[in-house]
Amino acid sequence: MPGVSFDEVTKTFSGETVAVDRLSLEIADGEFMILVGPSGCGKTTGLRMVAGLEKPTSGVIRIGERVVNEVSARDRDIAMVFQNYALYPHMSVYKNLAFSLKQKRTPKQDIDRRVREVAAMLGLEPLLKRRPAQLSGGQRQRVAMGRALVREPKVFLLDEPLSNLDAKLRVQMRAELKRLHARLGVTTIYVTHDQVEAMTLGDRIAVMSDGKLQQLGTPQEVYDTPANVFVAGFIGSPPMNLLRGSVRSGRVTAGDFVLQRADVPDGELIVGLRPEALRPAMNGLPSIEFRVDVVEPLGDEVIVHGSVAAELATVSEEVEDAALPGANGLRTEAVARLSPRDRPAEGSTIRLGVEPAEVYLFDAGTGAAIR
Amino acid sequence: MTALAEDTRAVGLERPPLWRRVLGSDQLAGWAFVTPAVILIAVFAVIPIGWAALLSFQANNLLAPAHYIGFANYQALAKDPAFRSAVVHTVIYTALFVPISIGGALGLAVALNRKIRGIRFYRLAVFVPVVTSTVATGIIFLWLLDPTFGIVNYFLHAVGLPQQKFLQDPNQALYCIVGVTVWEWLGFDVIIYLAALQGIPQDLMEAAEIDGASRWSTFRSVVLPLLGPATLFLVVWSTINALQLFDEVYVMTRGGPIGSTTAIVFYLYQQAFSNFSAGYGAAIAVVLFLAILVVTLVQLWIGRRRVYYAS
Repeated sequence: MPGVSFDEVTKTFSGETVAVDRLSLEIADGEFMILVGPSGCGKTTGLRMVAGLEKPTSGVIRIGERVVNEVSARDRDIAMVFQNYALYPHMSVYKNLAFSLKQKRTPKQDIDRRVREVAAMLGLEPLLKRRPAQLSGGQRQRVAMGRALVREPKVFLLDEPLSNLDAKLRVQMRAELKRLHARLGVTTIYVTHDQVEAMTLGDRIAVMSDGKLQQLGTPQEVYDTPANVFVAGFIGSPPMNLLRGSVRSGRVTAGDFVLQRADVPDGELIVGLRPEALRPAMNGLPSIEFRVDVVEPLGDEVIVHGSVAAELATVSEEVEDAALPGANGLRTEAVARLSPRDRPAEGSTIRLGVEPAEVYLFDAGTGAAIR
Repeated sequence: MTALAEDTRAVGLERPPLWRRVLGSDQLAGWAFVTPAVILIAVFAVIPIGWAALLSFQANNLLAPAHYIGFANYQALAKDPAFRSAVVHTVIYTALFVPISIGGALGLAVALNRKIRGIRFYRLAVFVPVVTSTVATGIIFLWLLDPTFGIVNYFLHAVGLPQQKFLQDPNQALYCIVGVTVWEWLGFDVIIYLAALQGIPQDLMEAAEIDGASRWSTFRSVVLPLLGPATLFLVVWSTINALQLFDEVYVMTRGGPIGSTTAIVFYLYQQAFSNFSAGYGAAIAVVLFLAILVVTLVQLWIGRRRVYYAS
């Protein structure tokens, strides 16, 4: 089974809108690759270029060794699951599944065998005679998956396949997708804006923004060492708190937060604090004053919404927290994830500390991580 | 009367007076809204149809007093060779007009359903004949198809093809009328198909492409079935339209030459208003009405089995 590669691929729409900007990406044979990013980041366009539904403006796309820029979608031997499934509404589930095989003039008994195999794999057997309109959302989603699986494609493309499902079903299908991929080992490219899906499903994830690849790595790498402030703000839930700060002779400050970092040159920077890295301040840990507004108990943890006395570092629309005027200049909304034991009272002011190793620093100009 | 009702009356909660109940009722408001339409439909549709049905059992020349003759008009109709040939002409016309206009419209609609420069102009151009008066169109085609002075023969001559008599040739006239009416009505069918085509989601086409379907196969397996409701509507509508062919025949050929374009409705017109056999004409109208009813019901019955409707 082949991999897929993007080599300096650019896609421009109507001469001006750059959807994908010099994207280079190697997807290994059998890999589960996630393209993740906010809407409009170019991830779907990237996927559609692999499918052959869009043509790159420049650059080269390969499936295996074969350059496919000029190959039509019908000759690429790829399968795709659309966001709203795109099932043929006038055909039964059976015919939907059989359609691609019929196009290849597969003998009837082979079609029947394949369709029944896939239907069994996805639990669709009792639904084969129904039409899509007679199915629930989850069942339609399965049929869309089945239609892709039945062809034993070289590459499997999924465009936000779970976004139309309710939360419970989404978690269920996520696990099922992972099982399927482990079993079939087909090269898979999966587009999503949901970073939880990205983290849980991907062998590697490619974080995209403004048509550009921001970071490529395993979910853990991307979470642990975000390459820049965009990735830091996008990956992780709730998102990382990003505060405007500065360094003077090895002393990093952001509001009342102080951290010693001798290796960082003087200047402006952005301080990133993951909500899950914050805990009630202990002696010696760098800490920040936190005014508690709302406490959301989730049972195993509490999400604490409040504000800190520091200026918001605006990096993109995705991190659009409102800056609230406070007594000492600006206050910024912030989030912490605490253990239920540490649940603070709403309206109280607490100090939250963080291990120095868990503080992220980013260049204020370029947004790149300072390591 | 129950004790409860008596109690109610005792405390003065009787039903409001009749006039108030009538004026305040939803029924009255409903009737007030529909009455104008009901009157119009009654005067211009129901009463004439009923009257025509009565007329068909009479000997009636619209002037002298009529008298009832039972089924004599229908019996005469069954043996009338002129009526039989009018039926044959109408059936031939319908069998050509319906598939040609719908098939042609489908092709044109697919061609027009894309983003090309000047697409609005093309769509407009296709629709103009529909809104042009039939009489004007008929006269234009009389000129175009004139054997001696017509521009069509001029072009035929220019490319070395033999001259044709068109509407003056009994073997050609009916087919010329098919051509003219197809040209007239094509735009209507195109608009219906264009609307239906634009209702087909783009991602279905993409899904079919990814599934490896050729353009033709996508058209046949995905587009055509989804156009089913539009096609059924056009088949029913065009068939009714074709079975009632009259205007073009009246303007261009008056049923000739040698009766070769006499369709049922034109024959009806001749009987009722040239021969003043109004009863006989009414019988033709009734037969045509029943024929259209049966044909339409059969089409709808087949359609219900074969056409997919989005829920």
